[in-house]
Amino acid sequence: MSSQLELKELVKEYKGFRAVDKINIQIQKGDILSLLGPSGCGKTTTLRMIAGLLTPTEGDVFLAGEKITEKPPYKRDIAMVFQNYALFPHMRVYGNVVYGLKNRGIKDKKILRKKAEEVLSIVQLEGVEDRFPRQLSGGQQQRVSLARAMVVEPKIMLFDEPLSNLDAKLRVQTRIEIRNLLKQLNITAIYVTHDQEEALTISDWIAVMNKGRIEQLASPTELYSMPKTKFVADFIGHANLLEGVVEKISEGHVEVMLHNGILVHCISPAKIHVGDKRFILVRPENINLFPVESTEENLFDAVVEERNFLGSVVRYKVRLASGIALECEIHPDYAFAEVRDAVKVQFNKEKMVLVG
Amino acid sequence: MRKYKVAGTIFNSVVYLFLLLPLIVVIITSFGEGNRAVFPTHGFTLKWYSEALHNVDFFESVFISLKIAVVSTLISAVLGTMVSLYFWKTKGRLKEIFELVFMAPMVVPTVVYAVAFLLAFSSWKFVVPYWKLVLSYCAIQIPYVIRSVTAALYGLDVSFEEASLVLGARPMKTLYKVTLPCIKRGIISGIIFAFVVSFDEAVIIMFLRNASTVTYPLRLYTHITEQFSPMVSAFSAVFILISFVVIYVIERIFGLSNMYQ
Repeated sequence: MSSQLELKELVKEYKGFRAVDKINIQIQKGDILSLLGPSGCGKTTTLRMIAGLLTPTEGDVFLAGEKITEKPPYKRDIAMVFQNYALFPHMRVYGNVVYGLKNRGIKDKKILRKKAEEVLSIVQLEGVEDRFPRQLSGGQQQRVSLARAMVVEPKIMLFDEPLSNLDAKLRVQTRIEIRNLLKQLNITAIYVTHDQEEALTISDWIAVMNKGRIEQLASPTELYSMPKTKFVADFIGHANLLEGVVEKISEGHVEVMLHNGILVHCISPAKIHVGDKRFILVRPENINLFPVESTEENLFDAVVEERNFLGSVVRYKVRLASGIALECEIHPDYAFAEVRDAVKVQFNKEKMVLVG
Repeated sequence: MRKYKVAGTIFNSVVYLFLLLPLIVVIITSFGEGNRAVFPTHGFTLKWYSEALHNVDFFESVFISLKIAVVSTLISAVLGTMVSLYFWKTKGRLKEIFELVFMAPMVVPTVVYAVAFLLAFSSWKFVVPYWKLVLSYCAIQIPYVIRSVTAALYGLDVSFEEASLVLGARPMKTLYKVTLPCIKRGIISGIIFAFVVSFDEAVIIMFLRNASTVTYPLRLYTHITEQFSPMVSAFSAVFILISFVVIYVIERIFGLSNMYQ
C-alpha cells in the first residue's frame, strides 16, 4: 500500500549543523502523526520541508506517491495552520477562508460563498464572514485558520504548534475538537508540538524527535508503555529510571540487578546481552505502597519524603533503603502514608520495561 | 504628581509654541498693510490675498513643482518599495553596500548631490531640464521611502507570506495580495515624506535652474530677494492651510485608529 506521505532519509543542514538528520516517516491516508520533541529538535524544520518552505539538503518528500521534494509550496496540494494563525489582517474572515480556493481557480462567487459557509459551520463559527481577524478572540481566530486550511481539501494538513497561543483550558478542549474533525473528514495530518499530553491525545502516531533524529515512532500507547530509549521514557509522562545490569535473559523477560543489589524482572523490547548496563522504566502508577508490617513478597523498605495531593491521585516521593528515590502515584483511598512514614514498596512486575 | 503634570503641560505648550510661532508670524504678516513683509505689522488688509490670486507666475511655479513632485514621488515610491523588499529578503555583503548607496542622500549634504547632478547632467545633454529635476529628486527621495517601508517590513510577520504560498498563491500574487497590503501604511507614509522632500527642494534647483523649470521654492526665493511683499506671506498662509487639511485627511483615512494591528 502506498502511503499518503513519505519522508525518505530527509536531511537539513545549516553550515555544518544538522538540524534534521536522516528522517524516515511513512503515514497512511487519514492518519494523524505528531512530531514531538523539545525546542531545537528539528520538528519544525521537518514540517517546513514538507510544506516546501525549506528545501532539504538531502533526501526526498513524497506526497500521495508523487515526489515533491523540489516543488515550491504553492504547487503542493497542502495546507498549514500556523502558531500565530497568520490570518491576513487586511482581509475579512470570508476573504481569508476563500483565499486558497481562489488560488485553485474557483471563481464562481456562489460556490465560494457556499464552501465558506460550510467550512465555517464545521468549525462552529457561523456568521463571522464579514469580520476582520482582529475582531475575533484567539480561539475564534484559531478556528478560522483551521477552516482556511481545511476548505481547500488538501492532501495533507500541517499544524505548527497551533494551540500554544491559547489558554490552558481552551487548549485541552480544542485539541480534542481538532482530532474529531480530522477523523470525521478523513484528513491526513502532521502535527508539530512540544507538549507531550497534546501529542498523546491528538495523534495516531507519534515520532519523538531529539537532536534532529527520530528516537522512536510508535502509537501513543506503545510509546508510553514500551519506550525504546531513555530519552523517550523521560520525555513522555513521568518516569522512574533505575540503573541496572542485565543478569539473565529468558524468553520475553530479563532479570536485572539494580546497582543496590535488588534483582528485578522486567520486559525488554530492545536487543540486549547479559552484562549490559541499562535503565529500567517504572511509571509512577505502577508502584504500590504497603504498610511497613506487610509480609507480601517482593517488597522493599522505603521512607516517604514528599506527599502531594493532586485530586485524582496522590503523588509520593519515597526513598528506598538503598538510597534510590522513586516517584509514585497512589489512588487517594489508599494513600495512607504520611511524610517520614516507613513503608514498603512494590513494583508492578508486568509493567517494568528495560530501555536504552 | 500634580505638580509634575502641570510642569509637563507647560513644557509641552512651550515646545508647540516654538514650533508653531514661525507659521503664526507668516500668517499675521500676510494681513499687513505695508509693502514689505515685516513683523510686527500694522493695519489689516486682504489685498495681498487677491494679489496672490492673480499672480500667474506663482501659480505656474506651483504647477511645475507639482508636476515634478508627483512624477518623482511615483517613481521613488515604486523603486524604494522594491529596494526595501530586496533588503528584507537578502543578507550579506552586497546588501550592506547597496544600503549604504541608497541611504547616502539622507546623510550626505544635499549640496554635494547638487554638484554631482550638475556635473553628471552636463555630460548627458539629451536629458531635458524637467527630467533632470525628476531624476535628481528621485535619488534624494528614495531613502525616505526605504526607511519607512523597511520599518513596516520589519514589523511584518513572515508567516503571512508563508501562509499565502502554502495556500497556493504564487510569489507575485502573494506580493500583491498579502505583502503589499500588509505594509500599506509604511508605503503611504514613505510617499508623503518623499512628496514633501521633492516639493520643498531648494538646493538642487539652484544648481539645475532653468527658465522652463522655475519651481515654487525658487520662485519664492526670487521674489523674496527682489520684493518681499506680504503677497509671499499670503501664498504661504494658503499652503499652511492646505498642509494642515491634507495631514488631517490622511490621519483620518490611514491614521492609527483605522489601521489594522
